[in-house]
Amino acid sequence: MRRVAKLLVVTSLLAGCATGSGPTSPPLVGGNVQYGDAKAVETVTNTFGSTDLQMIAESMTRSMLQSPALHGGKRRPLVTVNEVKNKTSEYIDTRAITDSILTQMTKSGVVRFVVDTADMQDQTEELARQNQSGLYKKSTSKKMGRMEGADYRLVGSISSITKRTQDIHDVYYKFSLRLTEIESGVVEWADEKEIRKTTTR
Amino acid sequence: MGDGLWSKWVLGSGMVVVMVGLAACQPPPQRSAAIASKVEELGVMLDVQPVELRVVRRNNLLHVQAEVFNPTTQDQSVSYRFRWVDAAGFVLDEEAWKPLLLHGQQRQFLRTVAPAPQAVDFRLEMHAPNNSVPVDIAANQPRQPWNEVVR
Repeated sequence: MRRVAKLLVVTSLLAGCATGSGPTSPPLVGGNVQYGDAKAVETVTNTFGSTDLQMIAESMTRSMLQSPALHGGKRRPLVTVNEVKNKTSEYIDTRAITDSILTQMTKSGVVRFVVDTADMQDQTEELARQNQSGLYKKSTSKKMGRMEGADYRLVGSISSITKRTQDIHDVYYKFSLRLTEIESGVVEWADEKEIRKTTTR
Repeated sequence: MGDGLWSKWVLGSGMVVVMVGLAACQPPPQRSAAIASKVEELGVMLDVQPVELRVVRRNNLLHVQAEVFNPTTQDQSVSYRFRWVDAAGFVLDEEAWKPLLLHGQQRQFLRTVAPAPQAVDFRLEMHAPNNSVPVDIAANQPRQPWNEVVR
């Protein structure tokens, strides 16, 4: 009798495994996890958030696209990204903002970007490996000394003013960006994006 | 009270309630065909209204200016974004929703530029959670009676 019971238990366990891992198995669900809208207006706290990043990147890109300096030339201008200084009191990944601007500007097709200082190490290492390691065919290895210099450089800053009372916490962000012609040093385009966020208790 | 009298009273009261309800109804906001074809609301906005749209192509990029008006005397919050479409009808990259605060009786201009020269058309998506009602698409009218949602 005990053998029969053991057999039943093992059979039911195997059956459970078979149905659980079959093609009709439901997705794993646990806790209160759910996917949200990455583009939605986020107001969880009044620190720098995804909506601020998206608004700044979009506003700067669309404004820069209107700059006469980027239109009318025979070839698409080359731009490099310099640092965006974080002058606020909170941690902000300014690289994420400039990466979004770079992505959107590149997709517009109006400008091209060249390797910036942050990526230069990887770029030179790759060139050195292709030319100096002896591992690559000469016909396919990319030649040294043929990188293109940028026409313009992007530089900017983000600063904030915070005011706090017992009931109100107000944060004002100002993001500034400038496009400077490298040869002449002339600022060809500049714009700012202001954001105010207020939390009331 | 007899059955006939009771049913007459019920009918009469019902008609009075319906008439009062209809009198309190606020008609859906009227839009020009041009604005209606370009603006997509998530629900029907009762207060904030898009009143004018201007479109021009400069430097091979579509420039859009939308004027929105808050006819109330209170601040209203709206979220909006533009959706850009190429010549084949394909949607270009999805924009982020942007919050907008409109003070009472304020007019604001939403100005933007297409993200790429390929954009030949656009839609303005608007969402005003504090002053909109869900819409019954089949009937093309608000799902709730207007008098229940108008403050």
